[in-house]
Amino acid sequence: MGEPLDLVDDRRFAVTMRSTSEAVRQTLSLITTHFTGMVSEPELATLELVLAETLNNVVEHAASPGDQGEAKLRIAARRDGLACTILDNGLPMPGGRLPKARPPQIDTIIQDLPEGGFGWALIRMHVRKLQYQRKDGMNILQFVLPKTENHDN
Amino acid sequence: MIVRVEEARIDSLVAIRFKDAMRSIVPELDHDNSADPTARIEPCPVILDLAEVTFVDSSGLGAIVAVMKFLAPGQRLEIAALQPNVLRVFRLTRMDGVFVIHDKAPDGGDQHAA
Repeated sequence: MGEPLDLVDDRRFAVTMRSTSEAVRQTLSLITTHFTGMVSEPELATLELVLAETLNNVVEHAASPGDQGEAKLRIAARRDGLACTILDNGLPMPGGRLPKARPPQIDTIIQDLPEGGFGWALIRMHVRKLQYQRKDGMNILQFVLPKTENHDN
Repeated sequence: MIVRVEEARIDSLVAIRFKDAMRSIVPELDHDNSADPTARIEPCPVILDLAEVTFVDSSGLGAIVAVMKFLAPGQRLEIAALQPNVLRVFRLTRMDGVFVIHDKAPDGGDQHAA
């Protein structure tokens, strides 16, 4: 029907948002509403967490000063899971690459416990085919959230 | 002391507000006034009741860790009534081994952090 072969139906979502924490919360609310009943509960929870972490990164580390920050998010339901693409016009990733997966060290005394650094670890433990590229002044992050169970076809 | 969080989400939008609210409630690590014996607080755990919280992201988790760090010495931060998706974030980051986690908060003595 003119759709890419790996697109199993029209379960797609696209939104453009400002790079602010308020907009992240609104977007996540839209997404959970949109995908409720379409994907399993655990998949929905993982989707919300992974998108929270990636969009928070867009807001915290990439948004350029002057409040011009904007991000586009696209999600497509495919056979292998939810394919997500996030484009933003913020600063490039340091070194042009994604941060490492290693979670912060927590085997330490309380005063030395990390208060950050969990975001990329949480993202990487859930997604596959994680890719980052910088193109035409935009950051493009892509990944697939794999299906956790075959509850439908 | 039990502190009940009356927010559905501890995320990047409210992480700083949550920390400030907790700072105004809990007995803090006292840098300036440690010589004053009347300012001493009996060490007892602060129990954070998260029964109403359905979502915590890494910013929220960081804020909870920050609260534990600014508690007075001898004071412990414990967590109660974690909903499944919140417990999962604690497990995945291995923070479930850092905090004492209770199935539910004990009755009585509530303070509120919103």
